[in-house]
Amino acid sequence: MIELKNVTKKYGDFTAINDISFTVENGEVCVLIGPSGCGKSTTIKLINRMLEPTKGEILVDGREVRGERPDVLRRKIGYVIQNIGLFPHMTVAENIAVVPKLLGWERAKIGERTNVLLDLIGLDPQLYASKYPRELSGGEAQRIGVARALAADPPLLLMDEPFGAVDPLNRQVLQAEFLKIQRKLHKTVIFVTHDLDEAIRLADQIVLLDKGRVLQDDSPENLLSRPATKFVRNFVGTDRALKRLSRFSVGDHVRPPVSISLESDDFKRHLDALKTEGARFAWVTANDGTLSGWIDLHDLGGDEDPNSVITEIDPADTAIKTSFSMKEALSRMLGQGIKAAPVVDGANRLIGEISLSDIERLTEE
Amino acid sequence: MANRKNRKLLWSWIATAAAAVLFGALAADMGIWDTVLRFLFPNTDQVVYPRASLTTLLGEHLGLVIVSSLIAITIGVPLGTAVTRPWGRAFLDVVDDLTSLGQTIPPVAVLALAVPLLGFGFEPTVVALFLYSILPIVRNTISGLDGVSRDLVEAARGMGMTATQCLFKVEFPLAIRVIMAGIRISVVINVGTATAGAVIGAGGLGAPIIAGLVRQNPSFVLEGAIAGGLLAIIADQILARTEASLTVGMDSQQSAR
Repeated sequence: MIELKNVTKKYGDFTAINDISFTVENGEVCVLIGPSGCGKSTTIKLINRMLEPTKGEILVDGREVRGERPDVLRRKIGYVIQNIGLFPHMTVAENIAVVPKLLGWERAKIGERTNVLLDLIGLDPQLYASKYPRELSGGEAQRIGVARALAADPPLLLMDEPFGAVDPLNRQVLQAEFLKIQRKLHKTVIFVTHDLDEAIRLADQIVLLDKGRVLQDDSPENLLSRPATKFVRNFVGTDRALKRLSRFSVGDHVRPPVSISLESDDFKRHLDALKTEGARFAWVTANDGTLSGWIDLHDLGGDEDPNSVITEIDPADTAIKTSFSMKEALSRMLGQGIKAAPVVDGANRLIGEISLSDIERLTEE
Repeated sequence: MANRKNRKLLWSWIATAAAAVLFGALAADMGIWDTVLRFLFPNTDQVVYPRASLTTLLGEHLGLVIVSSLIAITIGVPLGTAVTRPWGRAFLDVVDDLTSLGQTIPPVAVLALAVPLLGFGFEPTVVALFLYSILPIVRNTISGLDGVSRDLVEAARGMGMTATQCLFKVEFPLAIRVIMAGIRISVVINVGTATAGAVIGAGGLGAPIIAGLVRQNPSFVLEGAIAGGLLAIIADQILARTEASLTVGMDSQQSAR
C-alpha cells in the first residue's frame, strides 16, 4: 500500500504539489492525470525519491520512503519513463539485467529471469536477447522498458507516461498487453498520463490533479458519472457516456452467436431450428469455425443454393476480438453500418457476437 | 556480428603494429636516410643530423609526448568529469576558461617562462606540453558526458544506480568515443608541439629541425619533420585502434556470454 499524507513540494516560491494526500491499495492501478504542469510527474518522482518533498509523509507498506537510501529504495520500485531510457550500449538482455545485477543476483538466475520476462511481453528471447535498442521498433522498445522495470519483480511500479511517445495504434496494443500482464502479476502501479481514455481504460483508481492539488480521487466509473467539480466535468468532457464504454471489454459481454455452418451435413435441420427460434440473421462459418459471412434466413425459403444468398465479410474489417473495449466495438459497428458485430478469436473462428442493444443497455446502467 | 567486428579490429591492430615496427626499423637504419637525403640535397656536405642518432631523438621525443599526455589525461578526464557532476557544475566556466588560456599561450612562451623555475631540459618542456594538450581532453570529456541524454541518466538513477555506478556503467561508456577523440587530437598535436622542446635542450625530433634552421641546412629540417610526421600518424592510428577496442569490448560483453 502506498500512502501520501499532506505532501507538499515547493521550488522556491512556486508550489508544484500542494498538500496532496491519497492512498493506493496493493495490486491496484492508480492513474495520476491532469493537464500539463499539474504535478503528476513530480508526484511519482517523490515516491522513488528522485525528488524530495518539502513537507509531508510518503509511506510504502507503512514505511516512510526517506528511511532508506535512495538507491536501495529504487531497486525495489520498477520505474518506466516516457522516453524509455533503454541504454543504447547494452543489449536487450543487459538492459533487463541492470537491476538484478545491482542486487547481486547470480548470472544463471538473471538469464532465466530475462527469458521469462521476454516471454511475458511476447518477444522471443532467442531473437531479442542480444539485440541492441537501435534495432527495435518503438513498440518493442517500450515493451522492453516495461520488462526492465519488472526485472527484479518489484511489488511497486511507477510509470511516467510510458506510452506517451508511441503512435495511437500501438498505444492501444500496449495498453491491452499491460492490462493482460497486470492481471497476471497484480503489481501496485502508479501510472501518469495526460490521456483520459488511457486512464479510464487502465485505472482501478484515478487521481485527478490540477495546479498541484487533488480535485477528485475516485474510481473511473465514479469520475465519469459523478464528477466532483465543474473543472472535473469539463476535463472528462461531454462524451462521458462514450468514455465509460471503454471500461467494458467485449470479452465480458460477448453472447453466444447465432450461426450456421454451410458445409455441415445437417444444414437443413440447423436452418429449421434457427427459424423456429425466431432468428432472422445468422453468421455463416466454414467447417473449422472460421467466419465467412452472414445470411438473412428469410432469403432461404425454398431450395435455392444457400451459397448464393451469403453476404461475405472480411473478418479483418468487421469482426471484433474479446480484447476490444465496448467503445471499440461500437465504433466498429457504426463504421460498418451493422447492428451486430461478430466476435472472433485469433484464427478468425467465430466465438460470439455483440449487438448494438447490448451496448445501449450498458450506457443506461 | 560482433565476431566479424572483432576479427576486423584484430587485423587493423596487426596492420598498425606492423607500421610501427616498420617505422622503428626505418629510424634505426641511418643508411637509408643518408641515401635519400643526399639524393634530395646533393650540394650539402652533411645531410643527416650528426649529434644524435634518429633512434635516440625518437626516444627523447616519445618520452616527452608520453609523459606530458599521460599527465594531461590523468588530470584532464577527472577534471572534465568533476565539473559535469552536480556538485562541480559551479566550476565548469572557470575550468573551461583556464584550459582555454593554457592553449592560447604559445608553447614557446611557456618554455621561456618555465626555464627560470624548472631549469632547462625535460621538465619545463613537459609542463608546456601538458598545458597545451589538456584543453581538448577536458573539452571533450565535458561535451562527451554532457551529450549523454538526461533521460538515460534519469533511467539509470531511477532504477537504483548510485551516482558512481551511473557514471561508470552508463555515462562513461556512452561518452568514451568523444573523450577518446579528444585524447587523440591532444596527442597528435603534442607530437608536433614537442619539437619546440629542442629550443631549451629537451632534445627530441625538434633537435635536427632547430639545428637545420640555425645552420641553414634544410636536410636536417626534413629529417626531423618526416620522422615527426610519421610518428604523429602512427600515434593517431594506435589511439584509433584503442578507441575501437574500448567500444567493441563494451558491445560484445553480451554476445560473448
